[in-house]
Amino acid sequence: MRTLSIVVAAAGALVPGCSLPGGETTLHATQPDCPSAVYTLAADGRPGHVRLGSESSLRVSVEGASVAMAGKMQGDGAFVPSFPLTPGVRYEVRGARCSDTIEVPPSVGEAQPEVVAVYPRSEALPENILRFYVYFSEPMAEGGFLEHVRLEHVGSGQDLTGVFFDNVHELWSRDRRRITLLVDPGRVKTGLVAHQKLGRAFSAGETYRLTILDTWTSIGGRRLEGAYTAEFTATREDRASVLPSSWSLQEGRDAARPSLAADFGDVVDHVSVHRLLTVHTARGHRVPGRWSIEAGDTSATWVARDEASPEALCLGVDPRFEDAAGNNLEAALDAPGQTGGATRAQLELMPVPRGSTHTCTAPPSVR
Amino acid sequence: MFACAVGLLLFGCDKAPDSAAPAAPSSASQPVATPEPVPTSHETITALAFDAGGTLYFGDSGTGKLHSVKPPAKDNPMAQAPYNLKNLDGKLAAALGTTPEYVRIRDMAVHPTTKEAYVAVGRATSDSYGSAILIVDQSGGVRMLDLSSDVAEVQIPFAPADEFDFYDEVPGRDLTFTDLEVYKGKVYVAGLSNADFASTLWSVPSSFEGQVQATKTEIYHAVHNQNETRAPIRSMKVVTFEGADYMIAAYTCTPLVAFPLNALRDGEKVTGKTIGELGYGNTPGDIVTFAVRDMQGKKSDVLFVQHKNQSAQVIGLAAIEAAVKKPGLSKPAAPGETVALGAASVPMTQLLQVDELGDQFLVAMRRDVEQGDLELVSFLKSAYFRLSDFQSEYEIPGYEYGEGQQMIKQFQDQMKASEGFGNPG
Repeated sequence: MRTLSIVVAAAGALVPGCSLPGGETTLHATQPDCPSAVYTLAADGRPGHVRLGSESSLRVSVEGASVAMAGKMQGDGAFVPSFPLTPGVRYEVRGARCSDTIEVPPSVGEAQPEVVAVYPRSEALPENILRFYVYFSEPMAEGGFLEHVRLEHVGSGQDLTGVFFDNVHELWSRDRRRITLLVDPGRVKTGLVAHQKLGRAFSAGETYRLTILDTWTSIGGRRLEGAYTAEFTATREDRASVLPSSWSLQEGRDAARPSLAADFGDVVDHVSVHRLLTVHTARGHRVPGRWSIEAGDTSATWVARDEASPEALCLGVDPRFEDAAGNNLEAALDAPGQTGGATRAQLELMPVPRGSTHTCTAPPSVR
Repeated sequence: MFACAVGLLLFGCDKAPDSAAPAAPSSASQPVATPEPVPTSHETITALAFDAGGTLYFGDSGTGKLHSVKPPAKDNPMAQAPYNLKNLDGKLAAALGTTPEYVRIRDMAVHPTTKEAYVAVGRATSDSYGSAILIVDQSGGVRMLDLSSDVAEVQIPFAPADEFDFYDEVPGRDLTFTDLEVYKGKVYVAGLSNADFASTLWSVPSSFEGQVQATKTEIYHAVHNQNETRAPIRSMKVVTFEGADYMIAAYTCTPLVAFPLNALRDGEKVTGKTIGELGYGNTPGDIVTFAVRDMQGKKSDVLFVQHKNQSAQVIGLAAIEAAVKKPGLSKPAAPGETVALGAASVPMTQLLQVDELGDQFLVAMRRDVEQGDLELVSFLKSAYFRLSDFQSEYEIPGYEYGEGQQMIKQFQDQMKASEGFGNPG
């Protein structure tokens, strides 16, 4: 019977054995007159390669599988799999003369994932809230996201998870650390048949609990460290378009860099803040910088990336900027007859601080 | 025996014949150089479509690029055979060197001549999903399509043009390709940007030379009683009525909408005509059109819609043509109410993907209801079920077919044979 031999790698030696040049670690050869198979995992997580002594042709497969794994043989006898071998899985390595079994040890030291934040972070949200964003500390596994989410009415315990839009293509950020949970528009907008029949998702004055269950796993298969819970109370519906002219705009407190502070007076979509608010000089030149959103998502501060002398600033608001209910500058999401998409192309420009008299020139890209 | 196909990644097969073979290490303890990585430039392939000539188009939702590649010629001796594959997830995972929980299936398309199923998959690694296209044949063979060379690409433009990052370089936007349709020298691309949630239909010259046109879409969704611009087209198919081409598009919850292809204009918004509602609380999957014959031999064209949350439906193209020529729906419909078109539900459920497999069959990827295993199985067109899924009266030992049942027996024998049980007759 063939027994486990080899393994691993430069990124961190996981099994005892003799250290080899090149960062490999090996256990022991087990088949008389045959070498052990070696799997080398590149330090950056690339697939690495598999060798079996001087064998020049290898078939590598998950143990017991009839289908071999994809990869390329190189001229030097290395088999390069198309994807890294999976921790905890045993593989058969067959050459023309010898064969062996290798097992990549289960991952150790990998952090257990946790929920970093759920946006909006306000304890009071309009009853027509459109979406939630869940941020994780690690890249998370795709598929069946609603199995790991529970939304309930505090008090009655009524399960409201069904209000989330079951999106086949889950709305993950590219790094797999953020997923967007959309509330079914049919349960948000007024006058809709689904809303009339099934009821609006939330009611003003009621409290709800959104729980991210610890069954959610990272890509590596590790469960969340624990469940994450956020509670909020629904407030009356927000059916007004966003009015930047009502925002409070102040100069910031950063001594070395241009900065500003904005109070929106409403829970805003934090992605809109980062994406659709821009800062310009009075002559229309974009000033690179970074937004920080205060707890509650009703205010934010911006600090320029570079140190610079004080200069008159203008805040540019893209008409697609949204609040938590999906209303933008163009229209309320809920407004009768509206389609929900902003069509204005022009930035709304406002001098900072509010009340300043300097003129804001539109940036060249939107003139 | 592991065949080496030119242009395909090798499954542990013999070395490529032209590879120079330096002296291999004599033992495992020799230091070795880190090999060049296998190119994995494709991030998230979510949509596949073939043209009639066998060129494969695929959309990468991670990069927002549309690609094309001509897979190497491959003789498939079982090209005319149906599919009867069980434990498909295990086979796909094995080809990716892992176990099924680390694999995500995203789309499937059948090659027009070899009839092999091309499956777009995501494969989990330590911190992301790699993307690959696996080729499955009727014998259960699985190999990976080599995407490291001879792959053309075009960037699909989607607003806003300015890229941005936030929270430690988390990309703030992404484009989801939901479906592709190749027709008359153009690739139609449906998708949604999660930045502005604007449903868009692009048309791209299939040569990738020339202008990419982007048209925003708007529809009236009777169950929601509203005009919608954000919900993306989930599945689409071009049909032709009296020389005029229409894109028939299915949306979530499930309005069916017709867009005249000649109404698509770059930079403009087109309002589709809602011709039916196929059921609420549902996401439609693939749409296939084909001809069927009824028991009297009368031929008719149908449009087949696969669904995630309800049985598949079949609609006569004649009903769709009639609806296209009339005013669209404009009054609200109640959830649960299907409207117009006379859609017939057929007993095809638990479906993930469906495509056409020659004149006789559809091929479907589905989950076994009891075990949850993934299967790739064929369905006879016009039957829309698999006899082997059921333990019916006919199968009870001792059952005798009467004289008037010979046609039924003949049909059942044909089905059994196609499902891998017995021989016809």
